[in-house]
Amino acid sequence: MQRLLDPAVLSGLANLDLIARTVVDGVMIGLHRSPTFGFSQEFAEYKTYTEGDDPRFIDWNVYARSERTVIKRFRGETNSPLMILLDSSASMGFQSEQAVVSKLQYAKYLAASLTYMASKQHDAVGIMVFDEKVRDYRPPSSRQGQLPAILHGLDRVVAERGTVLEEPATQVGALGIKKGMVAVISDFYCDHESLLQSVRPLAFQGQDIMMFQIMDPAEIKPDFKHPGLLKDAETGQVVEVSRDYMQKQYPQKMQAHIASLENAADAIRADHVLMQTNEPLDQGLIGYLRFRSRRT
Amino acid sequence: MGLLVPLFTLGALLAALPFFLHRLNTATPDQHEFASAMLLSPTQKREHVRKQLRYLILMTLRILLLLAIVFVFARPFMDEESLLVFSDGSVNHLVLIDTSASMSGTDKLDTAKQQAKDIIRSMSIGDRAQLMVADKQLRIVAGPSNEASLLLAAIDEIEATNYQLDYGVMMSGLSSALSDDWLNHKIHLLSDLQQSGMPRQFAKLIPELPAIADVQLALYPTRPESLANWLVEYVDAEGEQVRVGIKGYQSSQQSRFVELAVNGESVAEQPVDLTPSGRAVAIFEGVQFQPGINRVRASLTESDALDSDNHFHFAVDRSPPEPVPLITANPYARPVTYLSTALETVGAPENSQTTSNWIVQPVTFEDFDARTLERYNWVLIDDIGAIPESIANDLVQFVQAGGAVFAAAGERALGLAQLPLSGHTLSSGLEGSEVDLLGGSQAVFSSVSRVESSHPIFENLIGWADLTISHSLPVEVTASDRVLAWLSSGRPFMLEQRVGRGRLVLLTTSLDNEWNNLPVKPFFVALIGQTANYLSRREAVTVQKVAGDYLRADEIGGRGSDGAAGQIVDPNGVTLVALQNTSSLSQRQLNDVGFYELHTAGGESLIGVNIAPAESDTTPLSADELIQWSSAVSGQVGADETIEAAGLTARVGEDEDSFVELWHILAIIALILLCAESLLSNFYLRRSQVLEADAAVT
Repeated sequence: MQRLLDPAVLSGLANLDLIARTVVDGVMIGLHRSPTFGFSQEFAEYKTYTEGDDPRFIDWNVYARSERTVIKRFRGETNSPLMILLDSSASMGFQSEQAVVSKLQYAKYLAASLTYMASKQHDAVGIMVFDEKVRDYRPPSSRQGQLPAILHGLDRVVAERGTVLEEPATQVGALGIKKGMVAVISDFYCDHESLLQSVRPLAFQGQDIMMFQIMDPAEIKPDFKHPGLLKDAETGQVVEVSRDYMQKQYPQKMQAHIASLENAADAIRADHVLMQTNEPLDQGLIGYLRFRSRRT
Repeated sequence: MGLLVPLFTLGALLAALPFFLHRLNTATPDQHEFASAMLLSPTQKREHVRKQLRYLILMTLRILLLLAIVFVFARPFMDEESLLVFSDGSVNHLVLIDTSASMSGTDKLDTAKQQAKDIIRSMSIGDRAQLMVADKQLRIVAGPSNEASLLLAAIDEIEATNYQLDYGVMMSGLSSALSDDWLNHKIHLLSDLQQSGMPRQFAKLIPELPAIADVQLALYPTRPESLANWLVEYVDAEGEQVRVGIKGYQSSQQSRFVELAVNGESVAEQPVDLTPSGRAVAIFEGVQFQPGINRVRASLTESDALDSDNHFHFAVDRSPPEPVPLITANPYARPVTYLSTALETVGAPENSQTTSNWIVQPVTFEDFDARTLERYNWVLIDDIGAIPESIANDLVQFVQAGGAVFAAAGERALGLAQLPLSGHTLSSGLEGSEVDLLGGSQAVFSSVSRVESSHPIFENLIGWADLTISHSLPVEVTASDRVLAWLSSGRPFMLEQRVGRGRLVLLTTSLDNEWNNLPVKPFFVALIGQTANYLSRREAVTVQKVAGDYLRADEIGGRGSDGAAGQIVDPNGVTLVALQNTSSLSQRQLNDVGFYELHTAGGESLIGVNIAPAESDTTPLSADELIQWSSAVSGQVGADETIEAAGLTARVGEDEDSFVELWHILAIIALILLCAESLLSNFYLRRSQVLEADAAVT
């Protein structure tokens, strides 16, 4: 099943819904019903229906017997809304010859998969697409139409403009979203200090933050044979680089950058997951499940 | 260069091809999109700049190569005139264009200018040219230069004048233009070559040539044939009759109409018929002139080869007689009678064309008022020895301010040691002997032995031999005196003394018939008349002049206390000389045809200026004369080289062969560019392959 999680395979699928189902199913099958990472429909308890609960889960039999409206709760189901922050800046549109999909496309796969998985868990899920500003926002909800709405929104996202992480973080904080998980999907080309300052308030609110750093393999280890000019996708800045620099100094700088991001994530008790666009998506989903289990 | 060919323009567009190819080649491969430049550091070596530079050199070579190929097929050429550089054997061309009045007729000047342009264009490499115009004098217009464009532009600016050209004067002025640093000179004279412009001596046609120089003279007749031309030769006015002289050259037409205009208004017109001599006189009767100076213009109404000589400007003076004071002790004395009669008899000089006379006003010492002197130009004194000291002082001031005095000796001067007014010392010894002679039985008479005939007073004066002088004052001549006539005894007979701005003419004998027989001779009237004209400055202004003549300072000047004197207004109404400038002006050239007004302290006068009659004769020099002239200057005989008019056409035709084809040079340049491009592109290709191989290994 691992083959089904390969981005090269996923890119051949028709839509995000199918991709998400394929990815999640593949991951769940691989997990072999691990008790740690339980995902089932086993009954756990009844809960008095309150406004906001999904009426689909009202146990009408109980109502018939006792005239009380209660909803059934299942094992593994927690109150863990998921908020996805998707970076759609121009740098996310980068795709090298080593990769079959762009970073944005890969991020869309990841976001769709997370949404699908959260939906299956009956978790409320929302999404915020941003670059320099917030371009699209859908608040967390566990309603039935939320999944296709999010997937449809993801379909329309294109990579353009620059990146300002402070903007979505501030807005999420301001919206007073219920405590849950916040998945930030980005390449994180930003200053660590400013990242910490913008994300730290979310951590203080009790949000569990997952930082999915999406990178093209050429960004980690560039295949650079000749000296040449590299043009920044966001700023348009052209920098002339030598082959030696790209083969020796740049990878070191990139590793240092990733390491500092991990340190920053640790500082706010966030989880940092580095994902390359030529790698399967399971790592991201497993990270999500690990986090979710931490909250239950 | 003849590059305005559509195919050339299309071909030149090919030069843009390498540019686009290089743009395509260089813009894409070296620049890559990258996610972020945040972690990138620019290299120290500006590799891409060097690479771009290499590409630019290659691209430039390719563009130049294509352009060179296109130019080769366009077969450009360059006129040799643009390639003029100094070289041995080069020729210094002196291009002389006749701008005299005769060249203004028909298309003579245009022809001459075109011929001059052809000469400039046909100059060989290394030649230079100097452009000059000749009329009354020789003037340099442009050059010497080897820039044909400069000379051609200067030719367009040349215009005809109203002056007369004398070929002798022109050729003598050429000597300075024939510089010694050039060995070969060629004089090109573009003229109508009038016979009337030839000097009296043939030798004057040969300029003073540099010792070792080779000088050639080429003559270019603008109109080899004679043209019919009429002119108004003269106008003469006497009383109410005006006579207009007409002359025709080479004219088959025998009658013309003459129009007479007085003060700008046409008063009469009549036909005239030429006599076999080519002349005719139109006589206008009953012409009424206004008091004062009248402007008379006689015109031929029909146009001919030269229009500027169809009008003649003439001033007729009908001013009233001018009063002149005669200061005397006795207004009834004989000298007064003689002077009055002579002056009121004599008219103005013949060339002044005026009829004014003088009115003598005797003034006794008692009636003399110095303030009235301002009204007069000059004063008469019949006996200088009788002048009281106070009047003498007033007269000295009058003379110093520019006035003039004619004084004669008299009996009252005999006892004096020094003459009043003039201040001359009288030598007693000579005086005594004369007095003795007068009373003695043996009378000794003198005659005028020496006369300064160039002086205006004595001009054309005859009859000196009839004079007999028995008495004269023994005047001692000073350094400031100019003795105009001497007696046979060695004493001065008449002398002129300059005092300040004025002058005094002293006759050392009396004006009665006791000391001499002068007053009773007809000669006396002419002498007194010319003296009057001289002292009153009437003789100074010649009322008829030829265009190009000069108005002398003494003609402009007059009497004035502030040093200022006169003002000239040209025929266009422009004031040429302001009052304050007159004293510093030596002479003024009269350029235009028409009437010049001259305003001086002594009055107003009018000068009629016409073109020289010689310019009207369009008869050209014969071919023999041209050959002789050219041969005399060039030192060799050759009719073909002399008269260039016919040969010029052939020379113009040769101009096409004088263009230098440039495609050979361009083909060589294209070949060189091709080699350079091949070498450079191969070098870059090898270098690129080596780099790629290195990268593959890495």
